[in-house]
Amino acid sequence: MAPDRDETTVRHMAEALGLTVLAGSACLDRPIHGALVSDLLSYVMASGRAGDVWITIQTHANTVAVAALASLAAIVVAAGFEPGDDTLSRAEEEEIPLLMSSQPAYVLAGRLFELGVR
Amino acid sequence: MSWVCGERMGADTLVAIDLHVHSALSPCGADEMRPPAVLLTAEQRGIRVLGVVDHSTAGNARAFIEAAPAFDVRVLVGLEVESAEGVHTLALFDDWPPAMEMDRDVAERLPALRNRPGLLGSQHYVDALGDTLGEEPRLLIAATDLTIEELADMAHERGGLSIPAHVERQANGLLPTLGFVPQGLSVDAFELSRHTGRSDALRRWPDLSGRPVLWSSDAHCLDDIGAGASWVPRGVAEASGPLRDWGPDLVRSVVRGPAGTDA
Repeated sequence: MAPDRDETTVRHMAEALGLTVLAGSACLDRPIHGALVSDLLSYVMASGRAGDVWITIQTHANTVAVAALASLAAIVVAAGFEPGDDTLSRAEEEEIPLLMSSQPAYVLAGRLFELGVR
Repeated sequence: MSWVCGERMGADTLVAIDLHVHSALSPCGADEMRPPAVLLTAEQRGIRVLGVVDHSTAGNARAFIEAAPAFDVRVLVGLEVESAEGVHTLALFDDWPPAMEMDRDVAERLPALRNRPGLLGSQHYVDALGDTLGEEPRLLIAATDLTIEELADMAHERGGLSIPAHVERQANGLLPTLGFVPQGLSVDAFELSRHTGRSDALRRWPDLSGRPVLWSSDAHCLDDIGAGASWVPRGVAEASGPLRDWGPDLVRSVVRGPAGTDA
């Protein structure tokens, strides 16, 4: 039986995908309801739903504000891109889990899908 | 298309400025975009202040500055750089040495890719007379790893202006790419594409409200020079002194945009 998607939390995703937690480590028990991949922040503002994980290579501090506005579950920065200090401190302030991986967005999305996040 | 060299509005005469025009060094810039032709066209169309930039480089800046005194146009030179976020931003200077300083710093932050002239267009270095000096082999249309904030600082530290280009455009525009104007971003104005009116832009991007906007042609061929001009009071465009003294005023004094847009 497929795992109940409400059971998948940010912490579960981080462990399963081998993600590094950069900020928001106090908020890792948030449930994940879906996911989206985009590097255009305007698209995420228009299409992101509460509880989504957002996979992106954008590292600008605006990503955190967009995630907070849309009540996203977490931001996963892909392909080894590294957010700067301003982005990290904004993520702590806004309580947005910010994670990173050296894997490309395509691979991360595939593995998240396999994990039952649909 | 008809061109007006100056027009009365209230007590002050309005004149046209076009701060975003490409030269033959941009792969997408037409071969004809060389100093004498560009400056003559701008002069004939009544452009009082002209900004000449190329993607990721100011390699033709010296040629345009040296050619400028023969024409009745005030010339700014600089670069259009793609930030790490994918946002195009103009850096404009009133002389070529600061532009070339920024050019050298930007060059180190570009990926080492080669241009494919057949696919993307040629990148020609020219002199003040418009003769070809050489061709740039690197791919100039590429993103640097400099943030938009770093690019603004690099322009300001050298006495220049920082203006995010075509901010409402889906491709490489600040607003679609970053969603809204980043907190604390220190730029001098926000450029709109020549067909976008202020009220349309504000409806889609309320965040622009209260911020200085201007229009430019983003001309890549002679025909388009001035097609997206902004109109400012003559006195502001003719103020003397270094750019850092009058440039910020200039880009904040836009009374209206090109025909068909509402300022």
